Amino acid sequence: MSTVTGNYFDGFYAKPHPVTAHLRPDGWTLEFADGSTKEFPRAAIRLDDRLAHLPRLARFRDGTSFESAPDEAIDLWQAARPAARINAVVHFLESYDRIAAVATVVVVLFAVLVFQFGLPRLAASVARSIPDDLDRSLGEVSLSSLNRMLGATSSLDFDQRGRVDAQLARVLRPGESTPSLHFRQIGAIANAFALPGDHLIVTDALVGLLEDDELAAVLAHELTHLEHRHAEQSILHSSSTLLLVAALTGDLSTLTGFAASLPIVLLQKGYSRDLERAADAGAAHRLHDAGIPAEAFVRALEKLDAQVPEGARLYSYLNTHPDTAERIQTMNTAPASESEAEP
Amino acid sequence: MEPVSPSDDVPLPAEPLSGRLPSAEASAVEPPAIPPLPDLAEAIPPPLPDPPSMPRVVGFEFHGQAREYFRIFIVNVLLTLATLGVFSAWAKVRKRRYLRGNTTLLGHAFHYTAEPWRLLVGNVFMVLLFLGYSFFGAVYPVVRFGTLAVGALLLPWIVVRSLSFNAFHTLHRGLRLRFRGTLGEATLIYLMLPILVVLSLGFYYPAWQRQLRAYTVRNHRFGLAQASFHGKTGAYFRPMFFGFLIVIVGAMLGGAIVGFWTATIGAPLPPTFMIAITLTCYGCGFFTGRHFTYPRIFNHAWSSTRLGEMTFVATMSPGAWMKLQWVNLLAIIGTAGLALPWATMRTAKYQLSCLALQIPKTTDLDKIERMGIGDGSAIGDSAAEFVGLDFGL
Repeated sequence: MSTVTGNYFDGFYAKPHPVTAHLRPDGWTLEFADGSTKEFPRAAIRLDDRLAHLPRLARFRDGTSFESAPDEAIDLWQAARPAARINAVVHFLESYDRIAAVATVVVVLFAVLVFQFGLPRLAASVARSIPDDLDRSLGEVSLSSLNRMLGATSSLDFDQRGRVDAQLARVLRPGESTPSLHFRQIGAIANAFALPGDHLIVTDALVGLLEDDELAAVLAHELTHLEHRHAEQSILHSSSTLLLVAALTGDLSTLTGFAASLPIVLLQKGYSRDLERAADAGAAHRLHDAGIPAEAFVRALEKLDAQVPEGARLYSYLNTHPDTAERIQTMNTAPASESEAEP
Repeated sequence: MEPVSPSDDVPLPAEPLSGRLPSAEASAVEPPAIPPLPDLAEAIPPPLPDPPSMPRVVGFEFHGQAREYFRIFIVNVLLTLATLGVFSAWAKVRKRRYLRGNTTLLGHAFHYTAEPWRLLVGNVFMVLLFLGYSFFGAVYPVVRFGTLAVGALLLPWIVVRSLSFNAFHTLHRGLRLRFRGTLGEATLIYLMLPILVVLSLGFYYPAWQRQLRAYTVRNHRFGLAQASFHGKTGAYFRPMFFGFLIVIVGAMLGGAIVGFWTATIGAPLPPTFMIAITLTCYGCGFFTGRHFTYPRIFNHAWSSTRLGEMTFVATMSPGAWMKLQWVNLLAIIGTAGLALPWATMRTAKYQLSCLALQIPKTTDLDKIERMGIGDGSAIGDSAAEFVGLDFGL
C-alpha cells in the first residue's frame, strides 16, 4: 500500500482540504487532517491519464475530487487497467527527447515523401478515375468562373479560328476526341491552357503571334495536359495538400496554419513544373507523329519567352513553368522517336 | 466588409481556435471566442487569513515548457498519422489538458476532463459538413447550398453545445465552470446580427463582436459566481477601425509595389508575381492589423469582465504582443510548422502573465468559499454531461 498527499475538494466549496490518500488495489482511503477518513471503492474512482508533469486529478462518483502532484504511486495503481496501459505507452513516448527527435525525423520524412511522391501519384490515379460526366460538370464550373473573371469575348474571325482548328487536327491522335476549343481575348497575353472536361482555351494574342507549326506545337502541349487530366490532378493535389497540412498541424483556420503551409506551397510549384515537363514530352511525341519538326516548339517557346519582361525572369521557384532555356534544351535533345513512351 | 480579426479576443490561449465551421463563410458567421474562460476562478489560498482590508490582485500563471510541449505535439502528430486521423481527438484532448493543466491560480491548476471520443463524434460531424461543402459542392452546387443551409441553421446549436461542453469540462478546485446560454439568443447573435453587419457595410462589426463576447461571458458561471460583462462598443470600435486601416494600407502597398515594378521594367509582370506580391503585402497588413487590434480588445474585454464581486485585470502591452506574434509567424514559416508548439507556449505564457483577478477589500473570504454551493458543483445535473459535444470550433 502506498500513500499520496494532496487536496480533497467536496464539490460544493472551492476550499481545499489537505488529505493523505492510501492507495489499495481495491480502492482508496482518504485520511483528513483531523483524523477522519473517507473510503472510495475502485469502481467509484475516475482517475485522469498521466500527462507530462501535470497535477493528477481523481474524480469520485459522489462529485468530490482529489488533486495531487504527479506521483509514481498513482501511476502504478492505475497501471493495472487496460485503458491506462495504452496511455502509459503514449506518456512514455512523450517523455523522452530522443523519441521526440526520432518522431520529428519520421514526420518530416513522411511529409516530404507524401508531398513529393505520394500526393502526385494519388492525384494522378484519382484524376484518371473521375467519371466522365463528373469531369464535364467540373469543366463547366471552371469555364463559367473563367468567363466571370476574364469575360468571354474574342475578336478572332472565322478564318483565324479555322486555322487553329486545322492545327489542332494535325496533332490529334487517330481516334482521339476533339476537345472543345474556346477563344478568349485576355489583354495582350499570349497563352493557351487546358481546363477539366476537355476544354481548351486559346487567347487571341497567341493566334496572332505564332506560325502554323508553332501553333500546332503549343496545341500538342495542351492536348497532353488534357489527355492526362493535368488540371484535375493539380486541383486534387492542391486541395489534398491543404487538408494534410491542416491535419498535421491540427490547424485549419488560423493564420498560423496558413503560415505553416507556405513552404509547401513553394514545393507545389515544383509539382506544377513537373506536369509541364510531362506535357512537353507528350508534345514532342505528337509533333513527331504528325511529322512536324521539334524546332517549331522551340520557336514557339522563344516567342512566348520574349513576351516576358526582362526583370521578371529569375525567381524560378515562383514560376509554375520550368525555365524556358531548360525546356528548349530538353526539346532539342529529346529523340522523340521511341514510339509511345507515354502511357 | 470584415474589418479585422474575427477571433480577436480568444479568452485564453487555451486553444488557438482550430478548425472553423466549414459552412461559416467570411464575415457571415464567425465562431465566437470559444474555448471559454478556463480561467474564471475565485480566490483563497487554503489557510491564509489575510487582513480583510487588503485588496488582493492575484495573477494567473502558466508553467508550460516548449520542450515538453513539443514532445507531446510531435508524438501526437505521429500517432494521428499512424491511425489515419482517428487519434486526432485524443491528441486534441492531450493538448488542451496540457494548456489548462499548466495554468494555475493561487497555486491550483485547471483541469480539462473531456473524453476524447466525444470530440471524435464532433469531428466526424464537421468533416461530413466540410466534405459535403467542398467536394460534392464543387460539382453539384445544390449540395453546396444544402450543406451551407444546414450548417448555418445548426450553427447556434453547435456554438451553445461547444460552449457548454468546454465549460463543463473545465474544472478548478473541484468545481466545474458552467455555460447556460439560450438557443434563442445564440440564434439572434450568430445568425441574425451578421446580416446587420453585412447591411451596415461592416460598421456594425465591432458592436457585433462586443455582443458575441457579452453573450459568451454573461452565461458563464463558476459555482454561484455569475460572470458579467461591461464592455463598451466604442472601445471595440476604435482598435478595430485602426486595425482595418492597417489592412487597407497593406493592400495598397502591394498595389503600389506592383505598379512601381511594372513601370520600372516597362511591361506587365507575370501573373504569378503580381499575385505573390499582392498576397504577401495583404497578408502582412492583415497580420499586423489583427495583432494591433488583439491586445487592445483583450485588455478592454477582460477588464470589463467580472466574476461575482471580483474583476479581471488585463495589462497586455500592444508592442510586446506585436513583436511576439511576428516572431512566432516567422518561426512557423521558417520551420514549416515545427515551431508551432514553441509559439503556442510563449503566447500562452505571455497572455496569462497579463491577466489577474482582483478581489475587492470588502469581499469576505468565507463568502467566496461558498461560491461552490448549488448547481455549479460537480454533482450538479449529471444530464449536463450528455448535452455537450465538442465541434472543434
